[in-house]
Amino acid sequence: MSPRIVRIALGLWFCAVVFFLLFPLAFLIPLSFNASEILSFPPTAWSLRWYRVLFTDASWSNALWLSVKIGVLVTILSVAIGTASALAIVRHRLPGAGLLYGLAIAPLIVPGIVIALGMFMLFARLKWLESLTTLVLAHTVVAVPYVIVVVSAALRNLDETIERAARVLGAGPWRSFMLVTLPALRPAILAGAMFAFFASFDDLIITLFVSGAIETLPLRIWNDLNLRLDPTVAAAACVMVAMSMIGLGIAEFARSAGLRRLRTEQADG
Amino acid sequence: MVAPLLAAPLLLLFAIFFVVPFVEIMRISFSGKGGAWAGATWLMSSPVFALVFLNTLKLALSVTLICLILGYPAACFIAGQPDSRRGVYLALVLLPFWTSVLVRTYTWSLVLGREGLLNASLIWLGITNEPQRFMFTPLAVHLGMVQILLPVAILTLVGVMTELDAGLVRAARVLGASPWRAFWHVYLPMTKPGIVAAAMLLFILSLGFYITPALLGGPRHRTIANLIDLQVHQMNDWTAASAMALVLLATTIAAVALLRWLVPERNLYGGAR
Repeated sequence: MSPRIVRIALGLWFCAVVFFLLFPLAFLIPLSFNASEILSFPPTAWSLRWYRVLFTDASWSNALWLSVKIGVLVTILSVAIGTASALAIVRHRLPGAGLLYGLAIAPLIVPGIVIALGMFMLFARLKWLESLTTLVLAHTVVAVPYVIVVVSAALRNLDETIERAARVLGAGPWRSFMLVTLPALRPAILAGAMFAFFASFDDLIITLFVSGAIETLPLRIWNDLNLRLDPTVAAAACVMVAMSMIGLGIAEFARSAGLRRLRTEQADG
Repeated sequence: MVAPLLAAPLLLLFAIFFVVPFVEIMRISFSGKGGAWAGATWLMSSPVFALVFLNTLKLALSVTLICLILGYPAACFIAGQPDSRRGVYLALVLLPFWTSVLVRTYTWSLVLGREGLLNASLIWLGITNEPQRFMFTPLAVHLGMVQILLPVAILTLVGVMTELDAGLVRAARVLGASPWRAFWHVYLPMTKPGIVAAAMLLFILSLGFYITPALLGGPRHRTIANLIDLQVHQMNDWTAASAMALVLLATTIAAVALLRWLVPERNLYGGAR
């Protein structure tokens, strides 16, 4: 077994794994442009029919815009709450910071069904179900951990002496935050925001238990899958994949920009 | 003075939307119609629960193992690439990782269904004459869950493998070890913390799976999460659902604790033995 053969074998293995990961998604694209009622393969005729249904049929387009709206609200809340708590945990040495961090990332480890069940039973008693506010706050619980993880990692890597220098030179805590800390955190916050948006946009389990009649896009797809196979689902799924790709692109760009800046700063220093 | 104010919104949100719901699960599981032990009694006496719980553990275990076996060589390949090219290969793994679990499960139903890609190909190749049933089988659930969790395995393993001191493997080779011996006695032990960390993550994540078993496994291949949903939405038995949620949570916590104990903290980050 020469190392060359090993390298080729590993490469082939990797190709097979990537094929397994990507081919079901690639297969989705031709199907969504299929003209017929039945999702059979290969498609016999092509059309934009199902995309037209997705954007014009009220039940589909309302679900799509509602999901986007909830996602944006959740992202704004998560970035504000998450960045503030990351600052409290990493910078201000809050007593019990370790414990608070553990609590903050717990929703990533606790199974979604457990969180959803608890919320459902409590909010049923409080008559909070079927409310947009409840749904947004419930999504924020599973979205905010991403912001906290990414932003506190960036804060730990950030050289505190620069902030201290700003304070020594006469900037108040707010000014030094706005002029020094926030610009340095921007890539991490952007990446965290993307994670938070998709945590909400893609969520099904919590929505299934808490939303009642409010139909988000994943819930609309879910309800459809349990009844009949409407090809509009393929078009909706394609739109969701495309949005994820754009989000991933933005997050990766922000992350690599942040790394580049860190490297140049270290090189300058 | 500032710190408590900064953390206050998070604490308030988590108190109402995370801690109190959890207390509610505890309260309801210990206060059913049959008294304080109604939930526990239901768990003990329900044949369905025992079966589904065992199936969930078995499914989580086999999915974890398959992901590690498929993912390890793929992660080796990525970690062995120069820094400049590694990003491209990682992107290929991140792409599906970022896509919604619901969408990825749905694509499998298109591949495996009666009119799906797999049956069309098999008939076209002349292997079968009529569509075979792939949906609602353990195979379908495994394919779906492995595809969803495999990127997690690869990303965790790559993280550990790129931190390794590659010089040690080279040293073993220079000192006369065969590639196989160098891998088995040097490389593999160094990646052990990564394997255990990945296994822990995969097992915990598989335990709570809901969407994939529901869509691809059907009623005959339920997991605990599906059974909880069934008890709430169809049987209207909140006590049973809460009791099962506590079992699921306890299993998750036990898995975390066990693997923390198996891998002491100093070994979690690629330290020498």
